[in-house]
This record gives sequence, structure tokens and C-alpha cells, in this order.
Amino acid sequence: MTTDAYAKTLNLETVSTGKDRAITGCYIGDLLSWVMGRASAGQVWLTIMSNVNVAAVASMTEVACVVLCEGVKPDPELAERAEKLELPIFRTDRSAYETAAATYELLKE
Amino acid sequence: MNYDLHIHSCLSPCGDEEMTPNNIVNMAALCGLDVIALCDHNSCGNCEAVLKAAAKNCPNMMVLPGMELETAEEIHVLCLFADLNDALAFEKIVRAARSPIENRPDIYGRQVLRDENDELIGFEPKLLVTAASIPIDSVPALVRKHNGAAIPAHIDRESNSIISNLGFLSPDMDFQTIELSKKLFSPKKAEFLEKNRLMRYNVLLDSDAHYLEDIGSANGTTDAVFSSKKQLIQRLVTTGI
Repeated sequence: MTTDAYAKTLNLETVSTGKDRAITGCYIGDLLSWVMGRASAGQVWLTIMSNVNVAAVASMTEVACVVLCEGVKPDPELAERAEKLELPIFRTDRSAYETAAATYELLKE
Repeated sequence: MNYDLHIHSCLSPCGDEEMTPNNIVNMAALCGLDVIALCDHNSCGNCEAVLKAAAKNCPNMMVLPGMELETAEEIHVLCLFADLNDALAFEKIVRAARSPIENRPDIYGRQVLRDENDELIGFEPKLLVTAASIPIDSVPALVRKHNGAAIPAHIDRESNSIISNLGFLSPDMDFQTIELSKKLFSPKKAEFLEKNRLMRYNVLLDSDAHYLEDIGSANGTTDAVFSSKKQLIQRLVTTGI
């Protein structure tokens, strides 16, 4: 599954468009220093953190995309930075738990 | 006295590379600042250079060696000292608690160490803008032990502030002074302090300068006059400035 297809299937709203990337797994976390050392390349990163630093951590860990959950709205700076980095960021009103469960079902196939 | 106790140098990856020791002190002097503090993220690596540059260029300006510590909870706390050796002893503890993650200059920016003549010394290899494994509860006592003052930074900001990350500032924590960001305009200050039950704290207004043109931009000023850095630190941990 790739990020474009993933977003379409889960009906996620696009915050920033990026390169279509392959998804290999999922990671959930909000404390950036924690995520920085633990998220892996290719994962979908579910978070409620909308600070501009999310873009830096996503680039560093090479996650496939970021999903802002629980109706969180991104800081304008984050959307801008993500566009520059060609990092796909999506958002949803659903909880991290619901999003993770849906992601699990999709990746299982 | 005009102050700005939260200034970054080129050692902070997000700090502009023009923020060299001499540029910082000269700009601060031009802005009419009487007292400044150098607070790079999780490091005091450029403090000595800034102190020496100030002694050479503007000997009347008071310069505090400091650090903007990022705690385990990703809360930013200004740690200010009167004495460089105290700052460096504190830094040693932070260094041991810092994340082992390497800096990626292509993502975060370079972390540049310079001497008092702005000559390049080297680059800090470990990423400074991430959490050190020091819990916020332990910070006031740890900083005090090194004769310094711990001040929760930009407490009104939506990220990396004690309010954003922990919900509120617990009165059980031994902080006497807090810092507001320059983004919080005057009419909103009182409202913010009241809403968050922060009326009892002394408030600092600092620029959090990452660029030369930001230095002094918070217009922090006080009627108090300090004869020594030690006296200033003492006031920050008691009645405020």
C-alpha cells in the first residue's frame, strides 16, 4: 500500500502533498524526542503533535507519512515545511486508536 | 536596566549562523541592553566565547552564561548562572543526559562552536534540540545546586512550554520566575497569567532571539539595578527582577 491509496481508503484530509511512498507499518507517539529514536522508515506516524518540528522528525526517521489525529489542525508552518520537504501529511477527526486499528486492517491484507 | 535573557547563538541548529559571539554582544550593546544571557539548546558550548567577546567589546554589559534545557517532557527551561564554571558543571550533567542522536545538519542546521574572535572551533555532533533525560521536577533543585536560576521558558507557547506539555505549572515546583514569549502582546498578558494562575510569579520578557535582528526585541526592562551577576541570579530565584 502507498500513502496516496492509504489516505484515499481511510478518507483522510490532505494537509501537504508529497511523494507517494510505500507503507510498511505504523507508529504512534507525540513526544518528538521519543518518536525520533523509535519510528522507522516507511511507517505511518500517528500523532496529535502539530508543531513544525514534526516535519523535521518525519524527515529524519523517513516515515512514509504523518497522520494528525483527533481533529488536530496543523500549524501553518508545519504544512509549509512539509510541502517543501515533499512529506505527505494527512489529518482526521478520528482518534489515534481508531486510525491505528483501520491502518492495521489495511496493512494486514 | 534593559535585559534580554534568552539569546541563541550559532551553536543552536535553529540559530542563524550570523549569531557569532562578537555579533551577539555588539548587537546587544547597540540595542542598549545592560544584561543578556546566552541560552543555546542543551549546551553551554559558546558561553565562554560570548563572555570573553563581551569583556573585550562592551565591558559594561552584564553577560550570564546559560542554557535552554529541554527536559524529558520536552519542556524548555532557561538555566542561568552567574559563574561560567557553574554553568559548565551543570552542562556536564546535561551532556550525560542528552540524546545520543546525531545532528543532521541538512534537516536541523549546523551546530557551530566559535571562539571569542568568532574563529571556528568545530561542530557539535550530537543533536541539541531534543530532550535530555532530566525530569522537570528535578530541574529547580539541580540548577540551584549550581548557583543558578531555572525559569520555565516561553510559558505561553503552544509547544515546548510547561503549560503546553503538562497542562499547568504546579505550585509544588520551586520556580519563582517564568518567561513569556514576545508573541504574547501586552493586553493579553494579564489575561493569560490570570487564566493559568500564574499571578504570583515574576515574569521575564525575552526575545528568544535566533537572528541578530531579534535581539532585544521583547523590550524587557526593569527598574532594578544589579551590582553583580550573583545578585541578579539571587533575585531571579526569590523576588524577581
